[in-house]
Amino acid sequence: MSITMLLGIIFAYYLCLHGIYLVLILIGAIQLRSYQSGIHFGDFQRIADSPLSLPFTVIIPAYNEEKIIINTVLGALNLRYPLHEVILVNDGSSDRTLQTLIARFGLVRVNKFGQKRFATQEVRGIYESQAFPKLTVVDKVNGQRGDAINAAANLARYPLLCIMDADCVFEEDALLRVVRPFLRNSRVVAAGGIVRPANGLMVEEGRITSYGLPRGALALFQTVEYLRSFQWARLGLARLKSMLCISGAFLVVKKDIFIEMGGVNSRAITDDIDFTVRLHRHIGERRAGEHLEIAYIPDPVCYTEVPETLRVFAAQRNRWQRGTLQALLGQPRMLFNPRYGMAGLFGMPFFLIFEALAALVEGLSYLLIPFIFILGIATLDELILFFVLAILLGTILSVSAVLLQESTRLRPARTRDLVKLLAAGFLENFGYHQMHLLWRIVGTFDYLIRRRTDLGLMQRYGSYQK
Amino acid sequence: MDIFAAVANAVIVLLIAVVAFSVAAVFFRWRSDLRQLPLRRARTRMQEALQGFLNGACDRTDVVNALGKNSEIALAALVSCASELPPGERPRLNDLFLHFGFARKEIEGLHDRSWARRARAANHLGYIGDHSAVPGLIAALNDDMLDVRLAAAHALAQLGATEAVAPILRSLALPAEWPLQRAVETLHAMGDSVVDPLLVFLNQPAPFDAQSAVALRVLGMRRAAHAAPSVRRFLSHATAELRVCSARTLGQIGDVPATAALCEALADPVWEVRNAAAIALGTLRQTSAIPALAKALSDPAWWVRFNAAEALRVTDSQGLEILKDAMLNHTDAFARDISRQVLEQLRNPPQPWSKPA
Repeated sequence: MSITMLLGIIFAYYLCLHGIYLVLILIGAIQLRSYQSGIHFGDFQRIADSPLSLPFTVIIPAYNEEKIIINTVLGALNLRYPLHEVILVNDGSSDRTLQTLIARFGLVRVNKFGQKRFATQEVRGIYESQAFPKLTVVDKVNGQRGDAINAAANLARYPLLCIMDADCVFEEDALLRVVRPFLRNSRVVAAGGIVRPANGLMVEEGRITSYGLPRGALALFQTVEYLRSFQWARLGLARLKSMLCISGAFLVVKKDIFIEMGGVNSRAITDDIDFTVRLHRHIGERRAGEHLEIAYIPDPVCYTEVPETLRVFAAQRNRWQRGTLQALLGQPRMLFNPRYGMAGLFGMPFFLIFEALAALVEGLSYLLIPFIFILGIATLDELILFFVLAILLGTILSVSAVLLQESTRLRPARTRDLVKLLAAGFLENFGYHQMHLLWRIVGTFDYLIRRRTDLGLMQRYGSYQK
Repeated sequence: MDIFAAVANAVIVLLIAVVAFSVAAVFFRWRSDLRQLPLRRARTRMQEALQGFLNGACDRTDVVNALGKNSEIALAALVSCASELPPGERPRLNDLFLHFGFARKEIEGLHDRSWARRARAANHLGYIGDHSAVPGLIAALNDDMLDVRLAAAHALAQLGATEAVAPILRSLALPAEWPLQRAVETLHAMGDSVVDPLLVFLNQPAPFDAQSAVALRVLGMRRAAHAAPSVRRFLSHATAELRVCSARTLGQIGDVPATAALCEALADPVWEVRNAAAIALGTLRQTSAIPALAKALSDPAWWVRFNAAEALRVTDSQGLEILKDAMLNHTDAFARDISRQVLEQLRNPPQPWSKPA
């Protein structure tokens, strides 16, 4: 294959990638409009007032979270919902997470056996509080995040499980909004929602007191990325029944399906994409013919802390890349398989070709630049032209996402923030995008060659907490 | 065409698009702020006037003048105000709704081509409180769109239209949680006047299961003691869902004569029925149920064991003794575990909490 042909393939790949993303963003925008027109005055109030609303078990796996855990738990306890419980699992933290919880919530150790449906690492103790009867804290020996979730699911009393990250902050009405698709359609078995960076928020006693954009450039670039990816593209993918990654920061699933699936895979690098892909497979195999669905809530109800330093960001993206590869390559039979519906025919190929392998293709195109120049296939001016095209393709996606957001109630409050987002959508192409690419390539190498499956560095800042 | 020429053209188009989209985002922001500001101000003024009217600080003429400036916002402000008032207070706004002819407009809105408009009209009619809307709302229960039917049912409940009980059951008792839940809420909101029409419905020959389930759930929530004989009948129904509803309802009613039947239900092949029976027996607290509950400590389903143990704990000191004995001597490990858990929670309740310094 000549270099010119390779160049042509890469060019076509880029056009396909950006074209599909643009279509997904547009589908997402249409989907949002349809979702909002279906909400009527008093809908959520009725759910909040009804003693019949399906109760939730909110699960929070926590590992070394002493800086932020109090606000997270208070936020989960303060959720406006007729009936919910909160089960926090201290997954063998080496810091003072458990002691902080005991002191703040007046926890006492109790004997509780639960159903023990899932084998987990040893549970060292279970704690409850008279002052906060909705709260249960499980202290266990360290496993992966999935192990902690399974330990909590063993004690869960209610039919809906809401799994969240310990660094997440929810809007008070998050459960009211996320339960709606389950109530409206009995075929819905799981749901996810828009996740946004928490770094620009101010949170006091678990309640969001002010909104804003993050101050640091790294977090700001991630805000645009989240907007593009979570708000629009995933909404479009959900419409096409091809959403293969419900974020672990905000995942709701019916307990009976969770049990049938054997819980979360405790050996997964990123358990969320692994769980979602397995869920699609489960729906296509064991529940074939029932037309079960996965919903996506286009309401901004969950905020998560994004990395503020390059070191932590690099580790996170490396982990995500390895986790994506592990989840997708672990289910090869789903690829192009009509048995799994759109998830098999479009979702799996899209995620594998345009998500998991995108970094390799883009990396290859950077490697080809010197050859193209040396072999005289293109002049320097023409190479610069290609680079400008790549930047503009990336920018048009970000600007479209920001523009569409303006027509919704999700828009930022201040005009200054809008201008910041537009600028970040352009500037992220100079440095941030290339760094991100590099770490994804390293992640691919780590997984495929080095067989690395650890979680890597994780760090909390708690900068949004008062 | 040469690939580089195509790229150059694409760059020009994309550049124009990026600039145009960015300018459009800022322009839309500016224009929507400009449009919304006077609307927000008008609504705030109307809400202040309404608040003043309800507090007796301003008279009807002032409110009518304030509301008269924009009828669309006036309707939204009135509905919002009505939704925040307790149901008994809402008639104070009837005169204002009548003055602007909102009831007539919204009854017409029930026939609009747009389903969203029909749903909104039905929603508003519940707050407007005009009983002339009842026939139109009952007709709207047959609308093709579920959202319109739900809104109409809710409005009928707000109007206290008991003649709509059977039509609501027929239109909302569908195989999905949302309409079922809304049907139960709606009928429950009608108050005790709903009990007799529900009993008439249940005593009809073979109504649909989903409709019977809704009726049973409402009777339980209303604690309708005189409905007990009709409810007991469903404990032996062929459909498991109805047996669950019946057991739950009997517990909610506190129907002591059902104790023996509930004990029999502890041997039901479906664990959800056994579970509902154990919970109901815990509510009834009858010593005659103790042997059946003690047997249920070895049930294969965890929830049945747990709720049977809880029921024994609350029933009588004899039940407590059985739990203690089961914890130490029961041959079944499940029964020992569950007895220990329930007793531990009793013996070692969480300590009173005091805020750390």
